[in-house]
Amino acid sequence: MSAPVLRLKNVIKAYEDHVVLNIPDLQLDYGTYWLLGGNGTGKTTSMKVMAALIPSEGEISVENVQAKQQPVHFRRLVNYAEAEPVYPGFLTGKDLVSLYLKTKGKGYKDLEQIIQLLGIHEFIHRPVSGYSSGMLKKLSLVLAFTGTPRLILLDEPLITLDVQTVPLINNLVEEFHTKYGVTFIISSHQPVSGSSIRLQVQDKNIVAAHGVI
Amino acid sequence: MALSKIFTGRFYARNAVIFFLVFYFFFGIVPGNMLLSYHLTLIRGFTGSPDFLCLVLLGWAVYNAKCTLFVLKTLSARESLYLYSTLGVQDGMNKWSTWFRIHFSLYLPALVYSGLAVWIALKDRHIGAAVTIILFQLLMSVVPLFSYDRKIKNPGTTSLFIRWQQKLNRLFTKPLWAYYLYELLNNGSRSLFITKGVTGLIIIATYSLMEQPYELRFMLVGLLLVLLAHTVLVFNHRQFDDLKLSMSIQFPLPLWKRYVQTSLGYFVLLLPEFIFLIVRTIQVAGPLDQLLFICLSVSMLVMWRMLLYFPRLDQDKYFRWVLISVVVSLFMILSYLYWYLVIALQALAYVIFSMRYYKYEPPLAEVQ
Repeated sequence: MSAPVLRLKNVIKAYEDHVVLNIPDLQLDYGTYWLLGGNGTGKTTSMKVMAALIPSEGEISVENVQAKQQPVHFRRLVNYAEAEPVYPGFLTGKDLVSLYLKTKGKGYKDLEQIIQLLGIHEFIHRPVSGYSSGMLKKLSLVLAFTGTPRLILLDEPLITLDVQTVPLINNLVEEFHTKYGVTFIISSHQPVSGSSIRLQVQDKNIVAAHGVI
Repeated sequence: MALSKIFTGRFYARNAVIFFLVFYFFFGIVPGNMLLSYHLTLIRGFTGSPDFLCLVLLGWAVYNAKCTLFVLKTLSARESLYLYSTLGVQDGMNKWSTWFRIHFSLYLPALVYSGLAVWIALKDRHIGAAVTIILFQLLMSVVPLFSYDRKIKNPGTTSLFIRWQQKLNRLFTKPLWAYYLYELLNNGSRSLFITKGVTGLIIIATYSLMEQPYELRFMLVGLLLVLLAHTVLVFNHRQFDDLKLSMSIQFPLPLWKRYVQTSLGYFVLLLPEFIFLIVRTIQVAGPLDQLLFICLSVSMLVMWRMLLYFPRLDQDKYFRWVLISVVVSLFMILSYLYWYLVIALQALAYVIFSMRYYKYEPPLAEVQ
């Protein structure tokens, strides 16, 4: 039996003494997951914990690569795009693309194609301080498709995007999932993929939308 | 009146610290009874020497560029759109006199000092210097007016500086280790330049106070003061990483690479001091001493930065630990244990970094 793409075991995330997440065991196989939950239920914290971007207790692994024991290898397997991306204002889109390509690697698909597709090439040489929230969002989504990850976490990927871009992102997710075998976890108030499996942050745990996984 | 509030008042308020420092160097460092002779000597120095005069003219040109860029930046700001429908409709002499009044009010300090310089140059029969200054200041007073006029006639156009910056952006990508330096140059230039000014004075004072012959320990004590002047910049580095570079933790970079990048950033930050130290001590300090200055400085700043990976280390606690590390370093320097100190600082910094990096989480108060 193959290893689950993502496994969280006895994961507890607390601020001071206040526990915000308590996940005894979560195993996600290859798929596209749609993470649901109201405002403030802990969707963003869950995603950051899954990507090992913030410290927590317990074990997190992607395809058996442990986040704590092999942090560098783990980071090659997981990409994360923030809901509200923040970058130093003096950097240009090109600086960020080049940084991600240098650290994460070239990736499954030519990034230049995705840049052209989303229309980022028109402002890529400008400092991000002059970007609108939609432009910044597009850039952060492109960066999430760098390297050869097995898992991509997209936090509210559709907010602030224009109506023309939303189907393009949906197609990209579909393409990376079916063609390159990437698992997606997407938190969104709008459905991203028709075939997605619904998850929910409930009582500090992550469960299937209709019961425990 | 409204224009003086928009341009003049804001310009002097924004640059108050710089004006205060300049004022201090011009009027604060010499006793009152020697003030006149000090300035007469200074003016006679540059009106009597073409090289010195070139340097002074360069300084005035830099100040003029600062004034011009301030006006252009104000005109480009979103909240200044109304200026296009007010200043923009003026023409003829009215328009030019408005631009001149604005520019004159900003450039006035340089004009006053150059007026005095011309008067003294004429008295001393340095006609060439007097004419040069007059022509130069005429140029400085008139040329910017055309750029203001061009800007108001073409709202929304990108300036030459921006276009030049965009060209550079196409040619170069900024390396990760240099991000904090860019941040300082963009959003922390005032604290950066004040720090550099203070450290320059410390190096001069250290070398001047040192009794001959050259004593390495004395220079290292001065160097500790230079490093102390950088404590705020190091503290602000954490805030920059927490708020604007939170994505960097997801890069698959080994810890040693991250550590080397931090060290490289601090090396470049301290480069002006290293160059100044080498220039000052080249006659007396050997290459090993120069290497020690560099290694000790970078190790100390890196160690202070790594201390900040303890999330509960607020500003007070940070400064306490900085002072403790300086006192310990002082004793090690006085005991001739310079290289042991470098090794200890490096070892401590790397151990803290490797233990804390993945466990670090920005303080909630900072990121919320």
